Amino acid sequence: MTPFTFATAQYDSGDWDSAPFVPANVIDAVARYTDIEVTPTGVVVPLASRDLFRYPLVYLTGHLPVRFSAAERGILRTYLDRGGMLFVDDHNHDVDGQFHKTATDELGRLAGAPLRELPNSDPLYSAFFAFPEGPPTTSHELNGWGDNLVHKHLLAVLRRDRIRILYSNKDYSSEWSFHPDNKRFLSVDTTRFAVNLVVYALTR
Amino acid sequence: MPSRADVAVWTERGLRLLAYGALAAALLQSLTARSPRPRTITVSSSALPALLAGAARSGDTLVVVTDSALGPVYRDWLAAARAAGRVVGWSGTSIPAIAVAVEPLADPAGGDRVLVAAPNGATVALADSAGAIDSAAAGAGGASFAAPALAGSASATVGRQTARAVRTDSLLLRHVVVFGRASWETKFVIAALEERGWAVDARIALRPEAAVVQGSTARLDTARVAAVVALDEAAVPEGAAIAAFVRQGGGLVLGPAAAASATFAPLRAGAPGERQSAPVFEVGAAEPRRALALVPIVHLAVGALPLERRGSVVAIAAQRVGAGRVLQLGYEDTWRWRMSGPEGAVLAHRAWWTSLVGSVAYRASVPLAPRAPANDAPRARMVAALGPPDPSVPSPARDSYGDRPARPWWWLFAVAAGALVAEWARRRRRGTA
Repeated sequence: MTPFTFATAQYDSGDWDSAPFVPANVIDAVARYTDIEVTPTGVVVPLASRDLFRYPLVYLTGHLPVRFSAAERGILRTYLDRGGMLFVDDHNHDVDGQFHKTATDELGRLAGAPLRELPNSDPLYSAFFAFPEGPPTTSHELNGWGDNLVHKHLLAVLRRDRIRILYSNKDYSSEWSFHPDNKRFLSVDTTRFAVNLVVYALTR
Repeated sequence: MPSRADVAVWTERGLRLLAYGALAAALLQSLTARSPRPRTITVSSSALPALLAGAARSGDTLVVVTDSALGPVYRDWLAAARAAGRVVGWSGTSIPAIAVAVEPLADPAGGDRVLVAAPNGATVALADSAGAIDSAAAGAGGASFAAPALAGSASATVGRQTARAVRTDSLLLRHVVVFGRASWETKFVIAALEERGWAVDARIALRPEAAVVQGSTARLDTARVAAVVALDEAAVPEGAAIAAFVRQGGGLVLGPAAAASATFAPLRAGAPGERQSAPVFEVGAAEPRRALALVPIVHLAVGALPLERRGSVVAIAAQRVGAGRVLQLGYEDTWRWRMSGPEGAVLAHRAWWTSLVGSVAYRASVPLAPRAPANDAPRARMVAALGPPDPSVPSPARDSYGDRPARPWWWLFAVAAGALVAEWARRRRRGTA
């Protein structure tokens, strides 16, 4: 059986590699809390490559404007049609930032419909850990970085009641991008929501 | 010399005598008449409809020479005549022994399986009421067709002979229960079955005391569940319940990781062999499963049947256990077919998983309203109705029943009546009537 491999999307525009510690922390959390077989290291997969189909969950982040090439758009559309799940996180935590504007525009065109607020009762928030209030708040939201807002919802595109595209303004890319050695200093493990994300992708 | 009056009286007496004589002859004829000697009448099947009414009134032996089996109406007519004491035979050396049956597929998308028994090597043409569907060469066990939706009856034709049948029952599709670890294989097997329309319950293990549960997996019973898919070791805690379910009549699809467990050893069709990597990397359209890793099924159990091979090794095998069926799969990570395959891979993967589950699913059938009997096995039904054929009967030279002479009874009545009328007329002329 193929173990779960955390994949980070590499795209032509923007800074796709802005959160280098996220894969290690997510992999550690999945291995720590579950019995899911997981590859010890993550992979980087170009969006325009058919290799993307080997990783049915892919993580995409950045600060800069996002514009997909025709090849990237074609592969992504097929990927989503076949049951792949794309998790996009705005590393800016800024609803008026360039990443947010361009990424939501691109994703809306890709899906053929605009992203909508995901209800906080969605199974994503109870897939493993319980988050009854919806997406967990990040320290960057509470510190007033970016747009100085606490975003109460994530955005999503659903097909057959399953999330195909999940979009976050919460800046989990900063929240989960600490050096793994520093996890011991956290009073609450902030990567627990990443476990929900992986479990959701593997089970729904 | 007699007078004219004497001549008239003698004439009248003569006429009366003639009438009495004719009546006496008719009476004698009716008392002594015998049935004509029965003959053997041989007709071709094409001439039978026009001649059958005449033949039914005669006492002749009737032999039908036919190059294709008779339809139900004429077959039953002849069978009724035979049951009534008539001697009826038939000859049809060129009629192929074919039969057709229609059964619903265990597939939420619907469709029927048409099974045709036909001579080995014969070309079978399948059609329904709307037109031609498919054709195939019959093997040793006949031919089998999967038809998405039949319009009316299914007909299978071999040479000039056609057999027709309609579906007589429908299936109640019940739930499928999937047990597996949290993995891409578990996710996409569930997705494939749900997208096809199956109601899927699942228990997806995350760690020993935690699982994602969809629907209800607590009670495995054929009253609610048609089949279980045990993908890996996550199904082991349910092993006893799954075994009881299968023996009760339920179906089981056993993945390679589950088959490796000793818990499922009594159920599996064979032992898992040494894992083989895929011979090709890219999932192709023609043989997509060549790109999948395989755990060959070795040391097949007594009664187990290999259903698919890759090269010289068995990739899929099945066997009966109790009243149920077990299908063992050697392929790993079939989700790669869906994600990485060519265009149409999602549909193909979905249909393949449905065929696996459908082949073992418990079949709870509901009879449909009775319909007019179809001619589903023409030659066999001819033998059942009329007895075995007589190959020694020659072809008919002429199809006719018109060569028998008319019986001469009517003119005796005419003579008697004419004589009496003539006598009465003469007596009136004489004024004595």
